[in-house]
Amino acid sequence: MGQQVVIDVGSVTYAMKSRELLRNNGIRAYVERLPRTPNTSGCGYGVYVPNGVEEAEQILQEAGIHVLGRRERVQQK
Amino acid sequence: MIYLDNAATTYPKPPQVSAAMQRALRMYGANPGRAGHRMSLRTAEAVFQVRERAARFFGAPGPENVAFVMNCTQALNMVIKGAVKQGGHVVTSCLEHNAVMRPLETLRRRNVITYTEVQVVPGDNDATMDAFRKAMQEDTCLCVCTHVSNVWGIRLPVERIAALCHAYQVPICVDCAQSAGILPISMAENGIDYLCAPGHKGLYGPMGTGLLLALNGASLDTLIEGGTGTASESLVQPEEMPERFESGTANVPGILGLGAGIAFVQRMGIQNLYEKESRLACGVYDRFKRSGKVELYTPRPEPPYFAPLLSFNLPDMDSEETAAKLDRHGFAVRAGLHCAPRAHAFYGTLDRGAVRMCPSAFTGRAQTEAFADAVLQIAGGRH
Repeated sequence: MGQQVVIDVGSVTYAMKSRELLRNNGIRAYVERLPRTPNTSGCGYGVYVPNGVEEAEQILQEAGIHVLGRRERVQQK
Repeated sequence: MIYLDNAATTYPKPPQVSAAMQRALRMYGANPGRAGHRMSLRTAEAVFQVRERAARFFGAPGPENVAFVMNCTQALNMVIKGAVKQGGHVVTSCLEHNAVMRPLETLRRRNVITYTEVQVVPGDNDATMDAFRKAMQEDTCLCVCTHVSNVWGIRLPVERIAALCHAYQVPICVDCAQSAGILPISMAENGIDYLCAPGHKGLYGPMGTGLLLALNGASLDTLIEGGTGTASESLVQPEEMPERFESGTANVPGILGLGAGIAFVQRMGIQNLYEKESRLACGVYDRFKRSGKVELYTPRPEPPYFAPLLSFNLPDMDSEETAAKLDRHGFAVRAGLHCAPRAHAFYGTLDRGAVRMCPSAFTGRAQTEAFADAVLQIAGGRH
């Protein structure tokens, strides 16, 4: 199983807008709080996209949503 | 009591509004946009849905263009003080509320700006447009004007003013205090850069709610900075809307109540409400006109040139005295200057003010007829 990533879009508003946009394009997406890493702040939100991250990121960028990067997802136990 | 002070704040509110606020306190008690736990995300989801609804309602590009604020005055201050440049010039109308005039005058006294008040010509939009065109200067950096006068109900041709502003590359801010939820308006179709609206008037939300809709929020300097739940490592206020203008914990019960209020207006149909309330205001106007006992200032307040409100006076009686007598008859109206001295100066009522009545979705014909009866009784000395 590949690495699970969250697309960082900054705020919860943009995360929810991104989720709606991706779902309208047939891509499953879930709003999640961004995980903190040694190099990044934990403040902010993103969308977890189980499949099709590349396509999802392209859709978001084409819609004018500022993608700030990708974060490794914290596995839910 | 028959409440006709709906131009100040609507009462009663639809039951859905109080239900939404109670639900917020019961179910959405966590801080939205701050944490990752389920209640915080659920609360953020509920707030987001109101943002989406408000964006659709006002024709904004997306939910991110909608910032929740305390009231229309706060939104106007945020735009006026955030948009002007040192040495710049602002165009406004002669019918503005102090929510516009006081920020402008404060900036003028600090030698930050100059401003021009454009003379509106009721019933002649071409003449009004000529006056706006003449007011434009090379250093004009903002046009801010009301959509509807809160005293006289006069509707300004904001879509034409917006087109003029864009020809001069000047952003336009519209004060929709008296029109939001009453007259249809669309940022996209009407070319509005900043739209400021109260939540508690024609949108039927609770007091303490308001909206700032901005096409390009990053272009505004901020009045308030603080925590946004995003990019917390940075000491610089984020540029992205809506967080740029929403530092601190949101008024979630108010926002969800506002969402229910907007949904109520959508369900009733804004055009239906406008026509119904206009018929009521015009009915009162006609009774007053026929009696010859009431001082009227404006033409008949009918669509599309007026919003459904009516200000008047009784001969030889101060407006506050008339309102006090009406209160004793069981009618709630507002007298005085309505925080809009420039609008009162326009019709020469600065010294005595005027009595303002304004119906809402919950006002019926029997109530406005009883109101007209009471006013005419007072005018006839039988009170």
